[in-house]
Amino acid sequence: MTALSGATWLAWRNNRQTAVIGGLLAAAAAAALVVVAILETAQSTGLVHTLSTAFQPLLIGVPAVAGVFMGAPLLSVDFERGTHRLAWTQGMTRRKWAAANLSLLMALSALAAAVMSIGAQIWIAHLPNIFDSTWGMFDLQAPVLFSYVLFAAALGAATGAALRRTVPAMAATLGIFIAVRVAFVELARPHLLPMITRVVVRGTGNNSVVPQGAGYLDATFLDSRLNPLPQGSLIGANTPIRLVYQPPSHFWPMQGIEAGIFVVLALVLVAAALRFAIRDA
Amino acid sequence: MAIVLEASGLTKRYGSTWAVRDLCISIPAGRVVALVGPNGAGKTTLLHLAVGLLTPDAGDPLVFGWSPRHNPTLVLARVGFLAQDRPLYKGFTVAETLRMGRESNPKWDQALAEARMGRLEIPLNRRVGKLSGGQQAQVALALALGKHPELLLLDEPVANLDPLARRHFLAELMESVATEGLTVVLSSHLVADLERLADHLVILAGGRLQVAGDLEPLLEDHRWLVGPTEEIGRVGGTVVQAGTGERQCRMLVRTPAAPRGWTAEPATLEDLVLAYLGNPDVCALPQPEAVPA
Repeated sequence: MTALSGATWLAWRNNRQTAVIGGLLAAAAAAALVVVAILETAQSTGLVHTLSTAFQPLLIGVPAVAGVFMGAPLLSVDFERGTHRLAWTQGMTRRKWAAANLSLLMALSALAAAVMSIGAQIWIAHLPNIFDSTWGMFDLQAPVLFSYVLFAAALGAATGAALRRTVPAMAATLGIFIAVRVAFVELARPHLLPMITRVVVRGTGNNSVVPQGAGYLDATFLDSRLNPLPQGSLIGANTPIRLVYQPPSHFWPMQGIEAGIFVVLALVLVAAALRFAIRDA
Repeated sequence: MAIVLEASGLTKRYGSTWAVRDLCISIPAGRVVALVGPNGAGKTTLLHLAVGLLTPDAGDPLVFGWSPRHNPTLVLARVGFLAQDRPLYKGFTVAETLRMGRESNPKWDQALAEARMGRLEIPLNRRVGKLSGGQQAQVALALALGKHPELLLLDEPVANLDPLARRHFLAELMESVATEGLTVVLSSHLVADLERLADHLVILAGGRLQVAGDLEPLLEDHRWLVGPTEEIGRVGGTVVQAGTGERQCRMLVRTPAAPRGWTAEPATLEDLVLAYLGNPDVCALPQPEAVPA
């Protein structure tokens, strides 16, 4: 990397080990996903399914790993070792130093996230029907997975710049990331687009009133005035049912909206990290 | 006389603690300044304010006429700084450390820095963390000097070094002072080291300036006086430190001449520093110059 210069060279030199390890892990994970995707089509066996099942929690953990091990140490290590005083008293400004580090982090995270997300998407596309590979794997689809990696990396950098201690920054990154993720998944995600509500009567008309591949399906039995029936009421063949769900046509738009939200949050956090990083120390 | 670093009313507080309080200071060009004071006197804070690592609460310092916080690149291009504990990236090789200097300083003299490493027999391909403490200090000094600074600020540069490494470091520093004619401000606890180097003395106490001035006139003005205790009233000038016995007393006094009947002995830098550190209420500051009418 002799082509780099100035603050960018320094940022690269300081983070190249993390970058190489992170890059290799992302490439290895993507390769593993593609291999399993090929196996799922070639010889869909129990062992392959076990692998596919194991990938899901691992992939969900990937953004947190990026935040804790790439983002949080980025600036906090310098503050902890006092080397920020070395960097800040050469000829470059603090802002340039922080900007070079943050740009490098975001560029490398984006690259690693892109490689992994493409791998994940190839794997999802080849999963057999026994897996719920749409709504059940909302977190693992390329747009959302990619945006979460960026968000976690920026969150790590911001906490590292604010706390200026590596281990507390890592812990805070993990805690905040999990909290934001759980809250968003539970509270916001189902409503990223308005749900569809339909009232149908069982046994009449066609049985496939709920489109194949709907998400967040909620069914309530109703009385004749279309009020919810109390628990334990008698259910007949003609009891109306209210169905609330996200239709499959909402799936990719919702992926796009969620990914957009987290990319914007990532940018906000990068700006915050820049501000925190250049405070006096 | 050109002033390299000046400040008036310079103040920096941490919460309710005054690190530097209403400090007025001016460092003339070409001096080697010994910056002395007990722990917590504000030496590090003053150096950090001068190099723009800290923002003052009042009284922006001026370095070559520029504010280090508002014009960092103008100031940093002319100021070399070596922070306390001599921070370096321990995983870098010596060559990479010099490259860092080259990449981040517009006026970097690679040949000078490499020649210095060669002369000191510090291998360029060795990791900084594998060097001895003395060699690391030399690398840090080379990094600070590589940009041909006009002002070099060193915060406890020889602390924790063995005596030999300390001597080599200071010899290297003195050679640069001689060849480059730069101004140096050096904080240290080791007064004996400063004796051979410094020609200007600044003592801080409790965030305030206690003593400031060229060393030669300061040493000429101060003397040990030994005489009868009963005649203590005849001694003029400022008594910095007094050891009074029943019949005889020995005092460090700032006075142009000894009274009759008293023996005078010259004072050393160490005497001066220890006496002032022990008596923080006594000051020796330059008087304001008379303004021509």
